[in-house]
This record gives sequence, structure tokens and C-alpha cells, in this order.
Amino acid sequence: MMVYLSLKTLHVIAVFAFITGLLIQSHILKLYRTMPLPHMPDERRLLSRIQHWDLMVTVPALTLTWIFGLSAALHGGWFPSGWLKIKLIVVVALSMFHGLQSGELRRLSDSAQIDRAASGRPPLLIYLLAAFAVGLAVFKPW
Amino acid sequence: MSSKPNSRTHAVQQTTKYFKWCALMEGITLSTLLLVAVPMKYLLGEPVLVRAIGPIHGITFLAYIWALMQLQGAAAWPRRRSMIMFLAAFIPFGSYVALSRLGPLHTDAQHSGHRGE
Repeated sequence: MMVYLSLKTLHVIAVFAFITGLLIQSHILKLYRTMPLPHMPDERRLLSRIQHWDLMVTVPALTLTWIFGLSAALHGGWFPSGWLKIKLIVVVALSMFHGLQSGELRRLSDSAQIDRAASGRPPLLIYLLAAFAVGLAVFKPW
Repeated sequence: MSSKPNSRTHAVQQTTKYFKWCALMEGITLSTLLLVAVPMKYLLGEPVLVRAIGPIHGITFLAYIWALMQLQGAAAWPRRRSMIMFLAAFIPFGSYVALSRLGPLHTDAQHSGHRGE
């Protein structure tokens, strides 16, 4: 029981860091969507800082979220449950959004690639998906 | 902006390199699973390899999908191309072959106004 609770705690901590990073990406891309191109040096500096945060915090957090999450599910014997299968689909989608946005940020901070406006996913969609995943984990409906 | 049609930017180069590595790993684990582990399970009744390779393939597949999305974002690929690469991952080494068939990965942002989102 102690191992399961420890894995769950570590999973929740990693999720916090991952979702924070994902939302920062999403909000920054939303902001840059409204900006004229090419970007000013200060704007480019912000992109570079966000990319650094992504590399140092969000990507490791994403990896740890998966490692601790799968370990906790394995340890708790949750894999046959329906709620976990749906949660897995949701977290795969969130991970895909992160990959897409991370690529967008790279493209925007690359000087030769500033001929297309920023894209990214709406922050509200990320909030809703994250809330749905948390709800599934808390209520375990099926 | 850029007038060089085949120039590959640093961001695209880096993400392509990572994507190719993920495609290779995904191809190796899928081939091992389908060509070695599954026949061993059903012909010899030995499920050990499936139990071992299955989760490893799951992890490499996730990494592949993440890298594919990153490359789509970095190179501003159209959705159709990403969908082909996604489907190719279900064939052993399909993604690797598909990527090499696509030719130079110049970014679509340099050539068209199509968003591909």
C-alpha cells in the first residue's frame, strides 16, 4: 500500500509540472497568434525562455508522469478498469498536444521559419481534458 | 521569408533526427513483437517475450507519436502527411520507409499557405 501511495503522490507531482508547462505553451502560442511577424528581439527572448523551460521541466515531467502513472496502475491492478482505458486516451491526447506545441515553439524561435503565425491548442481544451482525466482518476466510475 | 526551397532549418533538423531515432526504435520493437514474440507465443506456447516486448513497444510507440507531433509542429506539416506517418507506424519499419520516401523535409510553411491544422 505504501509503494502504491508513493507512486501516486509522485505521479500527481509530475502531473502538476506537466500541465503547468502545457498551459504555459498554450497561452504563449495564443498570445503569439495575435502578434505581427517577424517578432521583436524581446518576443524572441521570451520564446527562447519558454523553450528552455519546456526542455528542462515539462519534458522530464511528461516522462515522469507516464512512468509513475503506469507503475501506479500496474501496482494497483487498475489496467482492466474501463476508466483507466479512457484516461489513457485523454493523456495520450494531452501528450500529443505537448509534442505539437513544443514543435511550434521551436519553429517560431527559429529565425528562418517566421513566415507563419503560431498555432497551438486552445488553453480551455487543455483545462477540460486535464479536468476530465483528474475526474476519472478520483471517481473511478467503471 | 526564406527563399531557399530545400533549406532545412535547425529546428526541423533537430526534430527530424529525434523522429528518425524514434521511428527506428518503434520499427525494431514492432518487428520483434510480430516476427519473433507472437509466433513464439502461439506456436511454441511461450508468452515470455510478448510480456517483455509488449510494454517496451508501447513506450516506443508513445515516443514515436510524440516525436511525430513535434515534427508536425516544427515543420508545419499538413495533417494528411502526419496521418500517413501515423498509419505507417502499424507496419514494421513502415514509418522509417515512409519518411525516406517523403524526400527532403523542407517545411511546408515555406511553400504554401495551407495551415494543415
